[in-house]
Amino acid sequence: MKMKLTIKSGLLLLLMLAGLSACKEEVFPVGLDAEQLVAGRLDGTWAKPTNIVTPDEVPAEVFGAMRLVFTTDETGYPSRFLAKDCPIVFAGTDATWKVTGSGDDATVTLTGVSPVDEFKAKVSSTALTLTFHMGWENTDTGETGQGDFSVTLARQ
Amino acid sequence: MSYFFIKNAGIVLSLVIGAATLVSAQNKTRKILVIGVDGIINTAIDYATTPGIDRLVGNASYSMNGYSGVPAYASTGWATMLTGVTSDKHGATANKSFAGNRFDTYPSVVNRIKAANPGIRIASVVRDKGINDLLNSGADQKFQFESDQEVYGKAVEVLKQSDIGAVFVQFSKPAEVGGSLGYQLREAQYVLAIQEIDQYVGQLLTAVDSRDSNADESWAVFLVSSHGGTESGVQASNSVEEFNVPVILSGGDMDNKELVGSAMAARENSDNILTLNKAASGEKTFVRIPINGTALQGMNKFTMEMWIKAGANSSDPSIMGDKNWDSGGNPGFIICRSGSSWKINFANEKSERYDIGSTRSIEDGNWHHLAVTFDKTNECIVYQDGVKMAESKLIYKAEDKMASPFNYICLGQEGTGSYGGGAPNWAGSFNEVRIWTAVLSEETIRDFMYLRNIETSRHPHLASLNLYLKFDEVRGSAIRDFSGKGNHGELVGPATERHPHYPIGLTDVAVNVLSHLGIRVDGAWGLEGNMLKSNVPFRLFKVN
Repeated sequence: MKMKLTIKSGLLLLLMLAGLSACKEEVFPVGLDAEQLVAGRLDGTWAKPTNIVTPDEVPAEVFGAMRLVFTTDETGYPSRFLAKDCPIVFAGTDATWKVTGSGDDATVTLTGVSPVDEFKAKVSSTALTLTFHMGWENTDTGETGQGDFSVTLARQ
Repeated sequence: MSYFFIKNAGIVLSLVIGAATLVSAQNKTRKILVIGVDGIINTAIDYATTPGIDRLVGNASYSMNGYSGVPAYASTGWATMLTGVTSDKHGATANKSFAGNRFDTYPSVVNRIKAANPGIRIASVVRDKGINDLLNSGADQKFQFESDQEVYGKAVEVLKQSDIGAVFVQFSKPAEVGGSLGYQLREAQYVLAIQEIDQYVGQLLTAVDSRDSNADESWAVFLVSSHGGTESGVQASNSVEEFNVPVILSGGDMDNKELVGSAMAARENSDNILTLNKAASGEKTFVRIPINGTALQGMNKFTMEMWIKAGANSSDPSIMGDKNWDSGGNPGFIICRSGSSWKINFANEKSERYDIGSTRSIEDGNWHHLAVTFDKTNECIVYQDGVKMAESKLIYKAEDKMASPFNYICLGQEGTGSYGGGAPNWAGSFNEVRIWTAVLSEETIRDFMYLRNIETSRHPHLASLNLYLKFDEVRGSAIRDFSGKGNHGELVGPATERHPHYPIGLTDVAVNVLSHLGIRVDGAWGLEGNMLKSNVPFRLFKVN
C-alpha cells in the first residue's frame, strides 16, 4: 500500500514537473512591438473577395479571385507576401511586407509587387479589409480616372 | 554574406528570365484554335479517359459547369458561341436550323476578326454547312464534311499552313450517339464517342505544337460543347443536363484554374445572383420592396416565381413574404421554409388561412425554381422546377381583402422585417424573382422559367409583370426592378454576397477569341461575354 502511494506520488510529482516545464516553454512572450502584434493578426491566408468597392467605371473583376498569403518570421515580424489570381492589383507573386499601426487601422507596405505597393488594412479574426486609392486606365478605351478601391477577404 | 549574395543573385536572375519571357510572349504571333463539339455532357470528361483534353485543361481557365444558353440546341449553341450573345439577341432558336437569325446585327466572331484585321487567315471546318454559310461566311477557307474523321483530317491539314491565324472546328459524334442511345455514361457507345473526340483534340494539339513556327507563336485553344443532353436522348432543350456544358479556354493569357461561380466576383452585364447569409452579429439581412399603393399590395391574382438555392436553415423563416409571419392567420402571404421543403401560407383579413406546400426538398445544394399561382376566388397551385406539386380550391369571396398592413414584400424576411424563426433570416441565394398579377399556365411557367431578360421576350403576359428582380447588380444596395413598373428594392443588412450564376458560358467564347487576337471589343456590339480575369482591360497606377 505504502509502495503504491509512493509510486502514485512520484508519478504526480513527475507530471507536475512536466507541466511546469511545459508552462515554461509556453510563457507568452513579453515586449512585442506594434509591428509584431499587427503582423500576427495578418499572418495567414486570406481569400474569397467580397464587399468589393471600385470607382463606378471600373469592374469588380479587377480584383480577380484574390488570394493573399502573409507570413511572419520566427520572431513574429513580417516576412513574405504572396498574391495569387489578382495580377491587376498585385503583379508579381512573391514579395515582402511591413506593417505599421493597429489592427483597426494598419498600413501595409509591400516590396516586390506593383502597382499597389501600399494599402490600409483593417483586420479581425475572420476578415481582412484592404483599401487603397489608385489611378486606373481602361486599356481598351484609353479612359482614365482615379478613385478608392476596397475589398474584404476571409481568413482561410 | 555569401548567402545574401546568392539569394539576391537568384532574384536578379529570376527577374531577368521573367522579363525575357514576358518580352518573348509579347512578340509572338497570336493564333487561335476553337473546337466546338456537339453533345458533351458536363460529367463526361471527368468520367471518360481523356488524356488529350486533360492536356488542355492543365493550361486552362475552365468549368465543366458552363452555360450553353437556352434552347440547348446545337444550332443555338453555335450561334451563341460565335456571336457572343444569347439567343434572345441572335435569334437562332430553332432546332437544326438558323431560321430567324439576326446575324446581320450580331455577326460571327469570324466576320468581326476579318473586319478588324483582314490579314488574319481563317479556316472553318465543320459538319453543319449552315455554320459556314451563315456564321463563318467571312472565313478564307470553308470546309464541310459528313464525318468527324474527315473534319479532323482537314483540320490537321489546315494547321500545317504557315499563315493560318484562326481555325474553327466542329465535331458532332457525341450528339449523334447521344441522340439515339442517350447521353449517359452507362452507354458505352457514348463514352467511346467522347474518347474519340479526345483523340482528335490530342492530335490537334500535337499538330499545333509541331508547327515549324510554333516557337514564335502564342496559341490559345478553346474546347466547348454546344449543348449537353438528357439520359434518354429526348430533347427538352431547357433542362439542366442539356445546358450545363464543359467550357475550356486554354493558352493565351488566361489564368490556369477551374472557374467556380461561388468563388468569383459578380460580373458586369452578366447573370449574377444575390446570396443572403446569416450575419454572425445576428443582424437581419434581406431585400425589401416597397409596395404601398402598387399593384403588388393585396393581389387578387398572381403568379410568383423565383430561382433559389437554399443555404443552411432551420425553423420556418420566410423566403419571401409581405405579412407578419408571427401568425399564419395574419393577412398577406408568405413563402417559407417547411421542413427541408417549402410552402405558401396566405390569409385574408378574416384570418381564413391556407397552407399549401411542395413535396420535394429544396435543401439539396441545387438551384430550384419555385412558382405559385393564386386566383382568390378559384384556386392556388404550387410548382417546383416546372412540375405541379400541390393545388387547393379557395373559398374566398370577391370582396375579401388579402392585403397585409405592412408595406413591403421582403426576400429572406417577412413583411415586418423582424421575424425571429430561423433567425436572423432565411439564408440562400436568389435569381430571377418575378411577380405577375395574372395566373400563368403550367406550360407558360415551364417555357419561360429558364429564360433571362424576360422583359424583352415574347412572354404572353408581359403587361402583368409587376416585379422582376434579376439581381445582376455588382455593387450597392439598390435592387433594380426590370418590370417597368418601378418597384425597385433595397438591400438591408450586412451579410450578402454576389456571384455569377454560371462561372463561364458560350457567350464568353467570342470575346476571349477577340481578346486573344488583340482585337478591341466595341461596346456598341452588345457582346454579352466577359473576358477572363487576366484579360480585364484595366490597369492601375499610382497617383499623388
